[in-house]
Amino acid sequence: MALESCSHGNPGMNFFQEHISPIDGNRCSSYPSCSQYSNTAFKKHGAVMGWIMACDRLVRCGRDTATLSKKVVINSEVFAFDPVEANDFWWYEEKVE
Amino acid sequence: MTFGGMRKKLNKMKYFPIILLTLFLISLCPNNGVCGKKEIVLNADMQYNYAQKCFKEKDYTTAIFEYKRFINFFSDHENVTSAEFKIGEAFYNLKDYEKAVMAFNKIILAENPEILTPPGSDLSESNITDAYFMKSKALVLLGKFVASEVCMHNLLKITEDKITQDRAYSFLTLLYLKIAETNPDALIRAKKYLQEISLESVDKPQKDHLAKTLADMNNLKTKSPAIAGITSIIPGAGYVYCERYKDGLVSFLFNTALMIAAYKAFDDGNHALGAAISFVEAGFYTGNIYGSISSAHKYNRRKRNEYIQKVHNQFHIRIDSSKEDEQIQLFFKVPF
Repeated sequence: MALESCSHGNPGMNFFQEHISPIDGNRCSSYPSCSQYSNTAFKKHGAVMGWIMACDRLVRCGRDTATLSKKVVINSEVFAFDPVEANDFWWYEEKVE
Repeated sequence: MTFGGMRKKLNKMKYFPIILLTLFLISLCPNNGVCGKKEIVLNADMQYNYAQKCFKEKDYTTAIFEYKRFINFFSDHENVTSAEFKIGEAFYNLKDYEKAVMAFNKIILAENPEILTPPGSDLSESNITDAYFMKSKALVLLGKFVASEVCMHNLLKITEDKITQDRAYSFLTLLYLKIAETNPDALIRAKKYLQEISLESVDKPQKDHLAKTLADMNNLKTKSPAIAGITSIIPGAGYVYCERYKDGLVSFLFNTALMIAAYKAFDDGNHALGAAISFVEAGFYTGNIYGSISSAHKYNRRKRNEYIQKVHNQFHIRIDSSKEDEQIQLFFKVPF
């Protein structure tokens, strides 16, 4: 499974993913990466909640989340699986199509 | 033609009627072993046994075809219901659960008595009971949990047999334990059905195990999202409450540093910088509160899933409906 960028209309994240992240590669120990998570949160919940969830993720990433979350293996690397859905299930109801 | 030639020709012709008669007699000969081909008459038992043989050899596709042929040609035979049940089982084993449901439904709808007699007293009633369970299992595997529950409730309405009722309640318990993986409210229903299982038919170790399992459900460790939110007024305290000590420490240090930085910036008259830092800090502070509440919910979900897994692993309710043994070893295994 390739790490996908999820930069939909977020200029800050777009800039980070296109110009800063490629310098040292993906260093996030979680999947999706923090920038992808932020983009998804912004897209799903809007600017305010997206910003709050992104800040929460930046604090948590690589610490207790790494031990408590399920693991996924991508390109032979192990990541902590921490999608947006794992952090908004208690207040956001997914629309069933 | 000479006289001698005509005489020869007449001699040959006298054999002609004999040849003609012989051919006529051969054409009348019946098609029996004497002439080479043998006719086989297939009776009901032969057809049914052949279908059974195919089923036992796990050639389910052929078995389905042969059972259907049996039902078609021997529709009055006593094994018709068994054959229909076997068709359903064959579809189930082929993982064609939609067709399995239809096959079992056919049995349920065709022979739906007001009250079922206990299993073992009549083969057809036993097939109806098993048809209900197999249909429910297939519906679970199709993800149709509500339909599966309805099926079990329909069975409970028409059966007076304690063993069958306990099987049904056990099935419903495990069904709701399965649903509880995504819907926590289902755990309450699981507990309710667990209590409905007749403890008279369970031996003492099972009874103690059941009682302990019920007690464990009441004692699940939980974290209050409200307390997590209130304690997170102090940055990081909410995470610590939820036993996320590293997150708590990082949150405390980061928020404290940003607050001090914002204060210093304003104190030095650098209002623009102070505002920018304050904006960032507002995001992280609010994120700290959100993360604390979210951590409490995640903690509760994790504990619930661990409990459900423990129940699945250790507490196998398996119904062994052996007719010889009325002392039930109450185990029920649903292959989720």
